[in-house]
Amino acid sequence: MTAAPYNYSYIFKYIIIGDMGVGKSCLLHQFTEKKFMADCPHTIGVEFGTRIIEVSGQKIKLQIWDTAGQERFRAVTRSYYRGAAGALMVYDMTRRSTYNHLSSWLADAKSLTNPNTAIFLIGNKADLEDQRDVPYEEAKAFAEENGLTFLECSAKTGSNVEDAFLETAKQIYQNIQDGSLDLNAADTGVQPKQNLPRAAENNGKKDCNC
Amino acid sequence: MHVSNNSSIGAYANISDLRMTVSCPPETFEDTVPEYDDFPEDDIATRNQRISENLERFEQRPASTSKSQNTVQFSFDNLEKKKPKVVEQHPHPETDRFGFFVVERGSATPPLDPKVLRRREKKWIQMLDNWRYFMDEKFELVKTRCRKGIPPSLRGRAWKYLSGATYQMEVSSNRFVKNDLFDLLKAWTVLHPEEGYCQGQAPIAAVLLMHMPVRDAFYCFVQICHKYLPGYYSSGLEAVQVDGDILQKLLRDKSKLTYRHFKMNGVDPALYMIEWFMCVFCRTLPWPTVLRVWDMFLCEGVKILFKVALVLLKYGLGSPSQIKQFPDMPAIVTRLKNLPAEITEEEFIIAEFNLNDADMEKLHFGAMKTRQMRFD
Repeated sequence: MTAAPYNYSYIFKYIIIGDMGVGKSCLLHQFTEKKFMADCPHTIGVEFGTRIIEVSGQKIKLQIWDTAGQERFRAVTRSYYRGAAGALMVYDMTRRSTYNHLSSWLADAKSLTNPNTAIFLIGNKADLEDQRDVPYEEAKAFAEENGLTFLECSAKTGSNVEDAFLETAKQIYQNIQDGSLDLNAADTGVQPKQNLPRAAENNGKKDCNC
Repeated sequence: MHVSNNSSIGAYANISDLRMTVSCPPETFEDTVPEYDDFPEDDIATRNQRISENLERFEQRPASTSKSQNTVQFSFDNLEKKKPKVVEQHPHPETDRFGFFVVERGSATPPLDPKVLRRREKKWIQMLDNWRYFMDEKFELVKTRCRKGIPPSLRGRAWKYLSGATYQMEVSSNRFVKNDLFDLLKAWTVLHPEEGYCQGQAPIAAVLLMHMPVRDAFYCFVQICHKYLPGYYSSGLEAVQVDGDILQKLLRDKSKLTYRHFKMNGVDPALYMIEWFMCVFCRTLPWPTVLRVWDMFLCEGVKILFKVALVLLKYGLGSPSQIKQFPDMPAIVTRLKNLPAEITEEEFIIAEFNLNDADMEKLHFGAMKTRQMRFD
């Protein structure tokens, strides 16, 4: 870990949700490492990743929580929805069942996050076009009905992965700019950068204000 | 009788070399022996020459006991000779003594002195042959020996005995055929149709399958899920979350700084311990340490998980300087995913919790009482 003092103006908290095996961890890995993880192990509990991006000239640190997809882990993962600024809801476009479960994931996301949370619908595995099980138009219509932004992407080739995360950030940033997201409210998932205890990284300084 | 026993140990020494190169689990070594026949055919003349060289070498050897032993030894020698050639043709990644491909060179503990290992093997064989006696009368000794680490050659058998799977197998007469993780987990879901399998169980099954045939592994697996970690994988994941709370209480008593730091930054036990406990650390620690932890876990049960977790937390995030270095939740979580090698090393972990063994017993007892109260 390098302690390069990145300057960023905000921290946005994201969660990635969806059925098991849709490629949540691979999406995160592709986004943070720009690599496809072929033999990705099951996520047990929650995983975590960060990356700093730039939106309208502002540096934003994304704090991304990747959750286990298996039903019984919801008992644990549900507590991580709270205070998410963005939620990426993922299905596998080659497996219809993962698409059919979206309504239950959406219900969770809506009830456990705040009304301003930007929810993004992602159809993953776009590289497997010949095995497609969910038509683009159908998912698009579902997204519009529920006020979600929609993209099909591929964690394998990396196509649209970047966009999915960036678009969500843009939306959140837009909400901050036009005032619809109140930074003073609790659990917005957006943290303006205060003087975080960065100084602590330079060992031996005594101006630590903790 | 004894002679043949000795010779098999001698052959074993060769086999262990072989195993490292072909990376296969102990049980299947017979299957891999014929592989030397599959090696690319080279010039018949040189091949014959090599064979006669080998034979000559053999005749020079001091009295060998039986003819069958000769053939076994011979094939290995032959293999030894041929190996370099094969390596040239199919460059093979280097493997460690467990058969894993070597990714990076850590500061791993050197392998045990063969003499010590042989001595331990003998002790373990004697113990396994008189298992009931040792468990009933000499459990402290069993415990000590588990803590020192079970010799790799006997690990699979010992785990089966420790977990009580052997007894279960005697009772039941079910049979399973194909040697496969899928089958094992499927068998579990047949046993628990309403519950199904939990993703956290697969790593457990995989570790067992690396040490024993699928039927044995299945019974050990069932013992672990029913007896060692009951309720860990059931819907709601109640039991593992309760253990998370217990761990937090233990942390408060054992490593106050860590406890406060976590509390201040909202680092919930569920955030780090679910994977640790559900998988009995097999996805967290280096492989030699995993095996040592499993040796102790199968002997002493769930409290070992708490002990290991406390060592990791205390030495990974317990000093004021570490707390300064990892000041917020993301940093803490990242740190816990990337614990420094020196504290995950087998000898370190084992040495550390031998020190506060008595303390731990007391704390654990208290925590168990709290847990009971919660359930009432």
